[in-house]
Amino acid sequence: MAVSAEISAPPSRPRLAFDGWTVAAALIAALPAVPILSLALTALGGSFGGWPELAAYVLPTAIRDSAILLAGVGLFAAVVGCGAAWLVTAFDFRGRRSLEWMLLLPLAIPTYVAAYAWLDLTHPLGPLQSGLRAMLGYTSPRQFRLPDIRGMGGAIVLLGLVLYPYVYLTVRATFLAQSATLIEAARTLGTPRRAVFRRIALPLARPALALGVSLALMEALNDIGASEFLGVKTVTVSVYSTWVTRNDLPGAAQIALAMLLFVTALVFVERWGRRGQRYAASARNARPTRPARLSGWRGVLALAIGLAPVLLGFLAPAAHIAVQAGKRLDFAGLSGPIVREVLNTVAVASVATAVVVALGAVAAYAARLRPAGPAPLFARIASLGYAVPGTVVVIGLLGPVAALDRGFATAGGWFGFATGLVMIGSGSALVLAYAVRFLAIGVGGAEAGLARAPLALDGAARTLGDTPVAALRRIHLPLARGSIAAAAILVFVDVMKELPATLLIRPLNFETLATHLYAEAARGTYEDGAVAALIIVAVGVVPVILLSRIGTAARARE
Amino acid sequence: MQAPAVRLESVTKVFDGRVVVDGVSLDVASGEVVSLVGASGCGKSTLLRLIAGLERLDGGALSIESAVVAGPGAFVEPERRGVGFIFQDYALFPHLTVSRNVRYGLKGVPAREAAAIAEEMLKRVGLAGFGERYPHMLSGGEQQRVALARALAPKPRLVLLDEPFSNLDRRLGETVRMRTLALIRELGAAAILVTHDPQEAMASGDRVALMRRGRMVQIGRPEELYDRPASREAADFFAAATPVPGRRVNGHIETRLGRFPAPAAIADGAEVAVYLRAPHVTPASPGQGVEARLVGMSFVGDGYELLLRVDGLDEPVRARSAERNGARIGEVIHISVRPNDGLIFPIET
Repeated sequence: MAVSAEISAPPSRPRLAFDGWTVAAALIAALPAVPILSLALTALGGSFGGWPELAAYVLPTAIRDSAILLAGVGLFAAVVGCGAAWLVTAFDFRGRRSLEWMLLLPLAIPTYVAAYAWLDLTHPLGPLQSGLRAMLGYTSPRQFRLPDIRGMGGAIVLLGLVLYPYVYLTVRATFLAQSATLIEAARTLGTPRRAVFRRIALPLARPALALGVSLALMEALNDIGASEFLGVKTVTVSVYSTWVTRNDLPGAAQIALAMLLFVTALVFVERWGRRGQRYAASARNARPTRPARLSGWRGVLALAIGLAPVLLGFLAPAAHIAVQAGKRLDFAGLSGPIVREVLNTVAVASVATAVVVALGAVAAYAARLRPAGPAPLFARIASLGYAVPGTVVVIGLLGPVAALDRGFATAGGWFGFATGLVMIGSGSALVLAYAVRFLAIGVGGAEAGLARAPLALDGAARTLGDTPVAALRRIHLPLARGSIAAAAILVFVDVMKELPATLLIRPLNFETLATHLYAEAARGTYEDGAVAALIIVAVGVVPVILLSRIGTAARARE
Repeated sequence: MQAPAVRLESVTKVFDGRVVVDGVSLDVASGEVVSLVGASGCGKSTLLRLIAGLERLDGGALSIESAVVAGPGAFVEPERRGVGFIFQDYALFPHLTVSRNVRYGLKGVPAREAAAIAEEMLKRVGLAGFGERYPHMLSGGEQQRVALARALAPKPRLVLLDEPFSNLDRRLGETVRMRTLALIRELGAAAILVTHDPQEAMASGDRVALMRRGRMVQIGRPEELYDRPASREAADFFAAATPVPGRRVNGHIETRLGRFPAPAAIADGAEVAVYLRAPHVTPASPGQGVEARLVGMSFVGDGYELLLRVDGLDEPVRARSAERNGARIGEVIHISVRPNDGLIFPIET
């Protein structure tokens, strides 16, 4: 028989501590690790010539502004997110089901689009102020104008309005999972209904709150467009201007290193917020809480309160963008540049998505195959990039990428032709930056998919003659298809919305929808920008629908 | 003599510094069925996974049909060992039909032929016509039979079964077990059945291997293990037994319950424990045997099992009675022991 013939000649292979899978996982982990290390080297190795000036004039303001902005956005997002989550889980009223997913909609609007739309909307000659003046009988902006949204206060409110859904999402999931028996126990022990939120629900949701706030703040730290348009000089903006306008890479790296301190602080705050508490485990088969029914005017009031963040965070800016885009399309049609930018955007997003999903699957599968070795750690390291702002990733990548390009140029020189900047010119460097930044989504999606298949399935496939690769192809990829597809959608949309990395490392004259919007907003022109913004928002709604469906599916199972 | 289907030589496995399998040696002859039994955590499932190549061993050597598949400097990947494995929770592929599951291991077989083999295997396990269903549409017993058909379809010379009947209720488990083993024997494959159930181990195996804390404690025919357990734990494992302290006096073992012939290996004056199982102890006529207070009685089908307190003994003694005899809980009755039945072990001090 064939099988026994094979067995009679076993390949004698020495046991290696590092095999192909572990090596592959290590290489993938190097993607985020290398830029971070390179950043440190550039920062410390560079001349500190510009440092006194940076230290004296740029950094103190930047760090102070960033700290105030993050604190403000964190507080705003926490209050709005928790309040909205409690509203839709503790109460039932007409329209609650719709409100539940509508509260996620602001996620579809990138921070720089929100700033772009609101700046235009609240411009003294814009629709909001003109409408108000017409209503109140004024004729000129001199007689009546609203306070300018530029400045710290406006930035906090604006970022908070589009970032609160992170808190809403995580906290609502916890509220839904909270056991009714806990709340009933509190009631029998003398806690009045109105105190349940403060004394039971909120403390139990603290880990989720910490997670949601830290996610929102990572986005806030990543933001470059909104802060710049609104005139807030954060560290992110400083990194960008130090590199782009002053051409001072070591200086930018030094500030970027300071940003990493913010990221570390965020991660620390999140850990501290959780403080090793794992409440969720006890609530596995818990009976969910029954929401209190609000009828009549109370129900209408609840719906109105719930709709306020949706209106300000999504409906108003989205509607304004749609109207402006409509006008522009009526006037000029779909212009050539926009079409080219759509194609550019789709092209880089597709390539980056394919890279991220493939690398994520390999890293996650390596961790499954070699749970005892370093592979699981590598998968974690590979996921680090999500916490690192796009500007920092790019500043870190510039060193290694430039070295590669020099290498290519030298190699080209031997054969007598000029290669130019291969990595940056071809967009490979851009895809690399996206991969570093969004690898966490690819790894997470693949891990979630793999986790659905019990380990015995691997054993069954192996004993039936599959190699590890064949088992991945025949068993895991078909089973994990849904999770991986969801991850691919998230990566695609995130890449499409990504602004800071794209601005810094794209090939010359290569415009995407995001960079186009940025350029027009920075110039103060609002021509095709609205069309670009509308496309970004429209695509951004896709993952929101996905998220809301996951929420409903979880409820349908209960 | 034919090469053994599988040979284990001082196989050792360490997890996180804990020795899970400790120098186990075992030969399974071609076509033989061996039951591997022990309490949970004794390392029996790990041993099975080592044989299949799903874990790598840390010491010793392992050969299948006289080819080394694991040992110093050698490791054959599981897909090249040609071993059938049946998992505790069956591990059917949820995205494939029953027929596709059964065909999964048929590499390099033309599609038409593979379909025919799958149909034949399904017929043999009594699931003809189930091919187009999906695993989740089947009952537990049916899923187990699909797992069996899938493992046997590539005609392995060795089948490993990891507690595959433990998720079925007792009655169904027995039926499925008998059919499974009959089919494996019919195909002439050797098999190792891992179980924590001593009854199942004795009923299934040509030989029974008892493991404890990673070590092989005893191996032999079921009757040998039952009648001549090598240790006190083994004595208690195959049927509940009560230890009764004793001492060798004048060529006999004297205990609170009576006298037993002393084995030659035990010196005069030595302390021993005599393990008594329920059938060894029977009610006696008044005035004979020893007085005991009845503390529990349960009907076990072909008689009654009694639980009795005897003055001077820490643990209650089990006895077997064919009749109820009007006995009531709390009453004092007389019991006697057949002298040749006790299992005598020295007490290590």
